[in-house]
Amino acid sequence: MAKKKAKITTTTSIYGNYVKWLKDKFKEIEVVPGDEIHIIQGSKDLSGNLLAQSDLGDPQSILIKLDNGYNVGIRATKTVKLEKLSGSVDLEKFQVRVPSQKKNLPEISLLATGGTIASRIDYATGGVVMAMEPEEIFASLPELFDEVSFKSVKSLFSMGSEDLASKEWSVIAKDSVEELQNGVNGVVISHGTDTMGYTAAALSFMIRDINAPVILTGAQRSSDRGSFDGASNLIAATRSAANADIASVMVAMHETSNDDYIQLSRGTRVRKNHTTRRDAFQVIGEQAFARVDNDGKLTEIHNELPRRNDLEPYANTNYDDSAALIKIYPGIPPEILEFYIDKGSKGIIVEGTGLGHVATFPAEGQESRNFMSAIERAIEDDIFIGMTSQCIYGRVHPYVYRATRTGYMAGITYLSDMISETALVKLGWVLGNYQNTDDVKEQMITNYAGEITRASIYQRRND
Amino acid sequence: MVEKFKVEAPTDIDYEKEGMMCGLEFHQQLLAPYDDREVSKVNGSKLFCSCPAIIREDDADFTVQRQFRAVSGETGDIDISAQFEKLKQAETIYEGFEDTNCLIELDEEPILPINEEALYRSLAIAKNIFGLELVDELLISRKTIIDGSNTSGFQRTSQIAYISNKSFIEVDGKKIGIYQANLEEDSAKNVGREGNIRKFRLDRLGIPLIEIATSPDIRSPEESMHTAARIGELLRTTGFVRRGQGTIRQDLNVSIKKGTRIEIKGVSELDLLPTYVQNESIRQYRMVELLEILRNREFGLDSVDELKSVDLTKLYKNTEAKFVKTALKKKQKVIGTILPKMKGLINFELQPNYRLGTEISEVAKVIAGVGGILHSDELPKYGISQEEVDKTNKELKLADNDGFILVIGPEKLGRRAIEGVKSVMTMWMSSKGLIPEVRAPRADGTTGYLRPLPGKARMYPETDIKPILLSKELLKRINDTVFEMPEDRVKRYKSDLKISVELAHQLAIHPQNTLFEELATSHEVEPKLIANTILSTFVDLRRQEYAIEKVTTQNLHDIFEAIAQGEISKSSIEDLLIGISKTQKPIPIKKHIENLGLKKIDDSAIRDVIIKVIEENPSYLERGMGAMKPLMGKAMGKLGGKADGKTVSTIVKEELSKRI
Repeated sequence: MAKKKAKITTTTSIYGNYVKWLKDKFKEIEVVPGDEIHIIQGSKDLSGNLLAQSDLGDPQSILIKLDNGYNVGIRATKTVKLEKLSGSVDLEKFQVRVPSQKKNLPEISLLATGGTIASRIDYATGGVVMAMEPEEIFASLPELFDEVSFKSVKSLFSMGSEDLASKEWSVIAKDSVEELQNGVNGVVISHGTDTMGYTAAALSFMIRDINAPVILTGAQRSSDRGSFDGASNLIAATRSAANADIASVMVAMHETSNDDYIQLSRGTRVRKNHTTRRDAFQVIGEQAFARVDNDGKLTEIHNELPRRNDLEPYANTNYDDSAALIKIYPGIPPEILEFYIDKGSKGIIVEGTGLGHVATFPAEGQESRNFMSAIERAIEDDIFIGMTSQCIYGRVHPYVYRATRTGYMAGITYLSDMISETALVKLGWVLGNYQNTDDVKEQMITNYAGEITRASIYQRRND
Repeated sequence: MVEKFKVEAPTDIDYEKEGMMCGLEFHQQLLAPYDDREVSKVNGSKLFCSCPAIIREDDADFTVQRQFRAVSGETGDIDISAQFEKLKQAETIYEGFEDTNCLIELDEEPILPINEEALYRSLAIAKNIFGLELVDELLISRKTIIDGSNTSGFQRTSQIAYISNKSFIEVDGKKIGIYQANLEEDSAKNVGREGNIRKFRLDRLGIPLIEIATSPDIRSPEESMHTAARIGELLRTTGFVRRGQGTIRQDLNVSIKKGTRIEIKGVSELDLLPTYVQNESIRQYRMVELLEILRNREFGLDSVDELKSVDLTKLYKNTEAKFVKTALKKKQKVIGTILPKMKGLINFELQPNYRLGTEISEVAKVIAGVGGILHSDELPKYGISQEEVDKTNKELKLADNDGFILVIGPEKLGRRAIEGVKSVMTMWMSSKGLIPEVRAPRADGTTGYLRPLPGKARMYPETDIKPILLSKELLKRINDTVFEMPEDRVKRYKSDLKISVELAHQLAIHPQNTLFEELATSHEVEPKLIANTILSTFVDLRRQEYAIEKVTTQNLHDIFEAIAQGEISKSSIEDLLIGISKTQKPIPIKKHIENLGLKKIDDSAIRDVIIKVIEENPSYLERGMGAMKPLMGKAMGKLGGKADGKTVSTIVKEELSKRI
């Protein structure tokens, strides 16, 4: 076994959030977090290993780890007596053992981008930080090394997914394509869950002529706990990347709150629908592609799966960041549109109410709330306006009500059952590739990656 | 070399000579409402969510299935006990309830801020009852536990107070030091295991517990019980704790000089504490002896290496042993291994009626969930023939001094069991002394193998909550809290409630004493009657296996109020309690009284019954006043619980006097 020590340093000051006079005292007696100290504060008399104080903690309380493993804080005044003792522990070093690779196993590549799946405890803030090396993630999943061979393991970023945008999507897309061109069976991307749906959509458009699985996966629970859901997600993602006969960008996450099945969902039709549950990712408006059990058995569910093929994948990462998404709410001021137009936006997705409505016939004296008029002006200025619904499930429809007809006449493009987030990402990508508004309109209603379904299936509700 | 040893374990040892030391960790559920809902006030809530702390008897509303993985701790090492759990590779099922569980217990949502009342109550107990020094800033830690008893894979725990020169209690005139107090979450209750599937219920998970740990000052088995009893009564005297069965659990730390620290986890019966301390001391004493014999037989790590699972099913194809036959029909296997140089030692008793074979069997059970093992020192037996034993010896290539064990079960589990036995023996042989372990209390008072004692590596900070600096207001509230000590309570019961010293004594330390006070002060009923109901009627009915846990506090209030109002006689209490325990769905007491026909009848009706009894038994009159007793008996029998003895006696006397 190869050993690798990953030193995790996340703290700006080694002492963290202590008041200056305490830090000075620590320096004076030459103790750093990990060193054993003896504290006498009035009647209080305790020894333990010094810990850094967290950002949310009391700057005047000295945190120590007692011999029994518990951490306690003793509030110090300037008369506190501190003494350095001889002991010390290493608090932030992690031993990583990466199992050796076996030959003649299906090859896959792992691209790490950050997120909970690559997070661990930060002793400075007491919170969770994204600081794990990809090797660390894998070291805790020894069973994978008997089944697949990792051709390359790359850390692209160490970012929370809320910080990722088109620039990072491009990097991930290019790297994925490069791996596919190098002939791996599939690519696994570990990713924060917050915007995993957006990235999945972006990769679905940016990776053209995809010939194999490109699977995003993440975790809803942190890796420090025995109940870490990322383990089974990652195992299923890896097994599917190696073996599934599906050529698509997909998301692999828990099907339910159980640890029994991991669901593979199409990148353009998956959405994070819960802040914390393991099964936050749900497929909208179609069936999941497949489910994978704990032994790696894959059961196909969708009856029109894109199969592995001989195409030569390439990356088209042109993207126009001026694409915007507006959520309509009762009383929304139409000026919000003007803000985007002034910023130079060439296209806007409007997430309307119901079948795709915006305020069109406001009451008398409320004319300034007429959002439709603002849209009409935008369209006159040659700005693409696409309509989706905030219902999440279902299609928009231009003819049912008078208000939508008005919108249709005005030139709004109704985006069928494309989910809003996917529509936004697609618009950025289409605008990156087409300047002419008619072309943009046509591309937006062209089905590139399953983002529009042919028929609305009857989906049974989970809850 | 002549080897001399006794197969039987001694029934007792000299604790002083062997340097026995024992400490207690006393866990008590706290009664602490998270919010001001009625359900929270009555039952208390969880430590990190507002779910009510209600232990459910009904069927679960839903289940979820989870799998756990070994994870590295704060220092980067995968904890040894966690690794051990991983070896078991069990699947875990949780049973939950829609109305009393939430996503937090399911490990699907981060925790809410700490239950402020639990925080206050635990701190007040630590400081004012046990004299401990409080920490200033409280930090919640995650203690890695992946045996399935916590959905998250860890238990949230926090040390709230530590030893001071005032932190001790007196037990039999001797000082027992109190070392620390923790505030932590209770675990999910294990409700069964089938093969590698473990089942837990979420109702208990997250209930706040206060843990009081003593210094290792206990020197005899009896002292352990007296210490626990004292801690228990001190906790109950605060009124801050949950009462009833399953709200208390004790861990024991026992060592002898030649042995090591062994933790016995989760003893709930107080009376059994001394037996566990005794048997564990004997076990350590005998284990040292056993290791010595093994060393003399030149049993070492290389011998442990010889343990290897072999499929022996074919040798037992035609066996007469019924349970083996049944197992083989289910496609199970007979997996065996050689135990080199162990002949005669598998029968060696480590505790009374607990052999080395039993220990191996316990290891196999906890690791693989198999039913148990068979071994060469006990065979032929159970229908297994000498011929089969001989064949097994041959197949496993046993030499004269070797033994073997057999595991009957699914092949994978059988092999895993032997792997587990091997890893435990490796630990024995790679250490000079005994290995610190966690052991489980067995019903017969012995202790069984559970897992290696986890090291420090398994604690790290809880990220989803801020460190808690104890505020001035909280400290003032704690300082202003005055608890009534059990001794003062006795005095008060005696003077205010006019009950005997003896009864007052029993009640003052009784888990239901706050209930007693509540009832005695709310109803115009003799306190003695309430005391007797709690102290003896309940106990009697429980012994007769009535489901008296169904009796609610409200039921008792209603019963004693009915007595106070003269609606029923006090002799109906038992019938009513039985009635409640037999009813499926709760119904009001009035309905019970009606159903059981317990409504008290008035004096003239009683008189009618008595007159009838006298007239039916004219011969009694010949005995004069001596007829009182038999007439009373007959009359009471006729009246059932509808009249009390005193009234009946008066009327019988009157009517009898008229006739003689």
